[in-house]
Amino acid sequence: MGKLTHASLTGTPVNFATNRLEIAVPKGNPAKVRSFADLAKPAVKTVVCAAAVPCGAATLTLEQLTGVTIRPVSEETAVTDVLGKVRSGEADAGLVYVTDIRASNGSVDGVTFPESTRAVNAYPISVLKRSDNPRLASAFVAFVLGSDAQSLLSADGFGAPH
Amino acid sequence: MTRLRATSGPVPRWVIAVAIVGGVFVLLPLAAMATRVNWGQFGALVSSPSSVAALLLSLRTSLAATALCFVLGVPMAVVVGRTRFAGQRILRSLVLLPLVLPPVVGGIALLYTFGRQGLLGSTLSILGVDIAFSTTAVVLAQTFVALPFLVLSLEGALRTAGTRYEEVAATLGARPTTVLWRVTLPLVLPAVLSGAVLSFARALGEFGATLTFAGSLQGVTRTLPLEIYLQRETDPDAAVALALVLVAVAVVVIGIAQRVADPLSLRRQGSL
Repeated sequence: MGKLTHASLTGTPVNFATNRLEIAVPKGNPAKVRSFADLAKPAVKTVVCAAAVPCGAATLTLEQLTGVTIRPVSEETAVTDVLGKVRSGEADAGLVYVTDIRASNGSVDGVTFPESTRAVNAYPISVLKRSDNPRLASAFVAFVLGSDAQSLLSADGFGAPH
Repeated sequence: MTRLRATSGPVPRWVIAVAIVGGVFVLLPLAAMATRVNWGQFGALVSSPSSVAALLLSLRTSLAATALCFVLGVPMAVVVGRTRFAGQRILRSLVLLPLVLPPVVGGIALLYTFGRQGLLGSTLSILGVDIAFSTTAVVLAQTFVALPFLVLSLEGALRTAGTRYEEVAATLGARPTTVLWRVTLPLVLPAVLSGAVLSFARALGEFGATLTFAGSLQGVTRTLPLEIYLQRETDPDAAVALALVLVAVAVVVIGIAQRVADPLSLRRQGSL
């Protein structure tokens, strides 16, 4: 979105949802991960997102803010790959979004941690200036920011926009 | 203008025309990519620590995979190409399966075999071998997809070479192992070499199975294709520059393959 607004392709974006990280562990939590700091233990095989993608950037921010240094066994390009490696039991823990664990239909367990509120990713929305149908686009933006869509998003685990 | 010269019989003009279209189809996308390279930054982009680590890892693992393909693939080709047994055709098709499988499927299959929760995973971890997320996993993934190239190329050569020399050697009292080393393999050496180079090239380009099975960590499992995929997220210039490096390496490899295969095979054909 930053690139789009920088190139003056959109109006002022508005955040419609937020998301934060949660620790995904295989069913039964075999490595007994209880906290964010546990991820730094050498015995815990942790998979994270690469710093180049948003979930990885949030992970890096949390590491810097808390002073916990995770030595991941893998840095995945997609958050779904992190989830996949936890689900298959290859990894003991993975840092994914709250919504990913909610959407995993119980195939992984989640471990929440209080530090997660310190790196919140926001999702902005905005109508493109060159939109072929700006009225419809504006209507969609209004829908996403409206109470119906907000309750759907909230049910899927997304946080309220700030 | 140089005229196309047919080496054996005339080639219809329309065949040449279609062949040119095919050639353009292959080369045009590569040329289009080359036009997007930020040449001013090229040196800096391809010499960043992560790029160099990815290139070195790719070369190292592809060499190891090629060695493994050679060790496993030569006996496989000899068995498939030189023996007759029930179900041989089916076995031959199964061996070539990784050629047609999407690499991601190969990665999933490897995961269920060598992964921590896999078929052999618990046995391996008792032995203290942990393959998941290691460079070994990368080599296994590359070997899985590259092996059919060596088997296919060698098996074809074994079939066309015939068994006359082997039969003579056997009547002269040579044991089967001696015949294999001294007669069979020297006869099909060009095919062994070109098969090995093709395997190397396939291993170098391996992406899907590695991503699924090995993970992605700089210097350990993040090979050049995985680095390109990651860079694409933030730095398209770096991704294109690295892609060009990969193309260059592939061109060199294919060049070597043709050089080792052609003169030797021509000489052999001439002597037969």
